[in-house]
Amino acid sequence: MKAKKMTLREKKELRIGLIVISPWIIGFVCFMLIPLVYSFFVSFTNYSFLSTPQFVGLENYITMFTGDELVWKSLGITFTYAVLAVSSQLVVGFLIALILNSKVKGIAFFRAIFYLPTLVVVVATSLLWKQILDSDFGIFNYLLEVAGLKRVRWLSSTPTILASLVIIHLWGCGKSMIINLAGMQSIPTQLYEAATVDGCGKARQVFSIMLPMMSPTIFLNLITGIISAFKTFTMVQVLTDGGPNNASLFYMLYLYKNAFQYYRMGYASAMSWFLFILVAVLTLLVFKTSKSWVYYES
Amino acid sequence: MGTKKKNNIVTGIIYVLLVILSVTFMLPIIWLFANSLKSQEQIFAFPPVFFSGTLHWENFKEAFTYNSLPFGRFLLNSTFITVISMFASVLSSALIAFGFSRIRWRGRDVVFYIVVITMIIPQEILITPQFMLYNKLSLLDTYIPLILPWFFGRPFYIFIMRQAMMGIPRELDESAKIDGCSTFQLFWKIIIPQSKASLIAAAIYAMQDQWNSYLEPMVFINSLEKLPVSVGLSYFSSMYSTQWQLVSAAAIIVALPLLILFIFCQKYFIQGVVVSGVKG
Repeated sequence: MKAKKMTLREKKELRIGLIVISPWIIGFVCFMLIPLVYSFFVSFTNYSFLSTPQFVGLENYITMFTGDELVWKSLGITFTYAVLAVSSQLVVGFLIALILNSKVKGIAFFRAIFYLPTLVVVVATSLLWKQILDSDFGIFNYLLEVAGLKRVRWLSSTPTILASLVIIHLWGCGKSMIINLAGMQSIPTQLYEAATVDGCGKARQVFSIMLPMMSPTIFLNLITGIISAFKTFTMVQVLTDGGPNNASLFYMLYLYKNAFQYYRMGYASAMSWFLFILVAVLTLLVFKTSKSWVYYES
Repeated sequence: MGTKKKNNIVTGIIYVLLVILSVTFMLPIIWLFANSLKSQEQIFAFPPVFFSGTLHWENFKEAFTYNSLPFGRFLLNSTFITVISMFASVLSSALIAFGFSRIRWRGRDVVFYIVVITMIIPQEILITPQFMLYNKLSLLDTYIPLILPWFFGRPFYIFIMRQAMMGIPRELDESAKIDGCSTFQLFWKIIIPQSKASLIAAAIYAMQDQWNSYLEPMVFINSLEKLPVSVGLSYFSSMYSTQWQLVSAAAIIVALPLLILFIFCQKYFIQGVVVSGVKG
């Protein structure tokens, strides 16, 4: 008797729970699940958007992997950028947080300054850097000239464009810096005190206490950094639109062009699925390795 | 005395580093501001000048009529979209977060894992199928594709609110139930006021996200006069001879709302980031 009563109550609770979260269920199904399934079907068709979709089997995927060098080029550019941007963001974000963690007067003001760039609308940021990087009147080349170096045509080739994008990315790393700072401040001070008693220097404390204790924070920054690097779109679209000569053709930009400039919906769907799987695999890989280097307090 | 002197030197070095770094970080923004007050000739001056001669404040007025782009209209569109999306997403996410934190039901944590996973899925890959579906439903070039999804909760906002709601003591629920509160009254009268800070943090995120949103309006909206300002602004530089002083003025106008918001609500900006970091 008693057990049956419990299930009745459980049923009631389950019903209430599901009713309360039902907006999420509806949104998840309508705006994520259905589009995902639909694009999966479209990825096996030739669909120019004006005609009806024609089933072509694996053709889109075969073209992607064997017949379209721009896919691999864009993937290479995106991957190189991801490695450069994420690694430099981890280092710079950590070092700046380290300085901002010091207890000196007016530190809140400085923290605000480093956060400020993240607030500038992305398109405005792109237009701003377009001016700074301009090879004729940009302030970057002026500074190079003052330093006795040669002018650089920043937005003209893959390496210089990637370098520019990494610099812009670092300029806007305020969020990961705040996350780092929060991670640093949540480390119990007793650990440092004990280390000082044991005769452990400041530099040693950073490596032996701070870094291991902050590994979950670094892990989070790593995951979000990789994902956002693979999604890079707006900045490049406004800065170079993939040019010149596809020198800055990021994967997402190529996908966009296929879908909305060449109207190759089937092909773009196949590319979407490939990106989805790629990001999922990368995330899983990082999660797997995390067991060996991320420290979790139990 | 020796350690005190050493401490002073360390503090001095920290200040020097802080000043150098913050000047470097601020320089681009100062540069943008300087350019917005220049004349056409001063923009192309080499070596570059920051602020010199007359300051051309009229650029901010001229930005509104630059190349007959309806810049004022863009701003209004963005305001409309952003305000609706903010209220819709905060309220729906709060209700959903409530369901994931204050009601115990079988399978809750498994379903919440799905919510967390959807945060990782790049929204960008959904844009192509969504475009095709909205086209079938004849919803392209309306604001429905931009606004409607915000009525069904946003994973990240659900996440930060759930964190906050988990921290509210259980006794509050029980005493409310004894007083005869229904589940909805419990949510509205007890839980919402108790988790106000996380709601504000989510509202700020919503404003930032929607004001910044670029790919979706670019794909879903065709009519120039319906564009939000993020996309509209990108039209400013695609002209044959870009007038950078007006582009800069427009960029500052677009950036300003969030900057002002930050000055008044700095605490909530930081809090939202911190919650996402500490319990990621």
